[in-house]
Amino acid sequence: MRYLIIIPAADKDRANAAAQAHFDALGGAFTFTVPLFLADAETDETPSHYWCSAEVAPANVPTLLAMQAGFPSSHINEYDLAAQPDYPQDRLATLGLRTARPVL
Amino acid sequence: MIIDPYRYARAFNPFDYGTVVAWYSDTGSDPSIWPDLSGNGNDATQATMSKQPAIVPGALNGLQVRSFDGVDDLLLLASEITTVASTSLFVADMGNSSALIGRDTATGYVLYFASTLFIGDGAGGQVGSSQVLSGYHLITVKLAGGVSSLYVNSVPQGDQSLSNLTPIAQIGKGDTFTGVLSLAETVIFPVALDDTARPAAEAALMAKWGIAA
Repeated sequence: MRYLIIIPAADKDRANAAAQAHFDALGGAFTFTVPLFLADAETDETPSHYWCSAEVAPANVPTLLAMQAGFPSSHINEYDLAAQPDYPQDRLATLGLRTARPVL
Repeated sequence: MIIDPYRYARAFNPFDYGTVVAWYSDTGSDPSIWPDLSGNGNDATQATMSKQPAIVPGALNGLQVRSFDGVDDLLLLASEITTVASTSLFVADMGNSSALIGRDTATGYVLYFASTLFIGDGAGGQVGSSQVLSGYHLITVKLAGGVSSLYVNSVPQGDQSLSNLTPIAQIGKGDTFTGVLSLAETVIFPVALDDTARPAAEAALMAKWGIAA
């Protein structure tokens, strides 16, 4: 089961610690490193949120959903990567967020 | 004994066409590592579980591919590839917006797809294809003498003088491109293959993966 998880930037360290403690002892400390910005932000200097997309084993889903109580401003949504490839972008638009602008 | 009748028809050995600096193919069962078959030990790895691309068995011509989720999946090369001249071949389905390889922070080379295919040098220089891609294609990038040449299914798409075309440091990039990327094979030669070796390598790779010209 795949989940899209978006957390406020202020929760980054705490969320990474929780990911490491509950799901990924080896690399969990770097789960939330991809920054998001308010859609109308003119620069990419201050992330407002971070996000990740993770395949979660069914046995671990209750743990993930229970953790949302400790992160009340987070957004945790299940989606189907194959059937809903545009879901992450659509979710960002709904929340008024965007990814970093690419340097091309 | 079970003999795969298609094994030899789809065999591809990049060493038939030149020295190879990195080669990632339909091998491996551990999503944390895409083993480098070139012998150079330049494995592409990812220690964080949520950032590991999924291995999808039998996705293309009966062979497995790696699927990047377009949010945060990313593989890091053990060593950056810094050869000034190179030829890179990718068998990929780039979805609707994805970065395939390179670096997209600060300046640096990035091969990316946004409606059509582009190579960006991080300094505003770009060479692009006007061809709208859908599904798997063989994408070739040749760098020689400061000129970057782009090919799709062995058909030339354009040449452009670009700067900052190295290093290649990563495969997939979720920070700025959010389309799903499916990558079947990547081969990087540390030289600009000539117009005999390049089409021959492309034809063999397209045959292996069942990509029509």
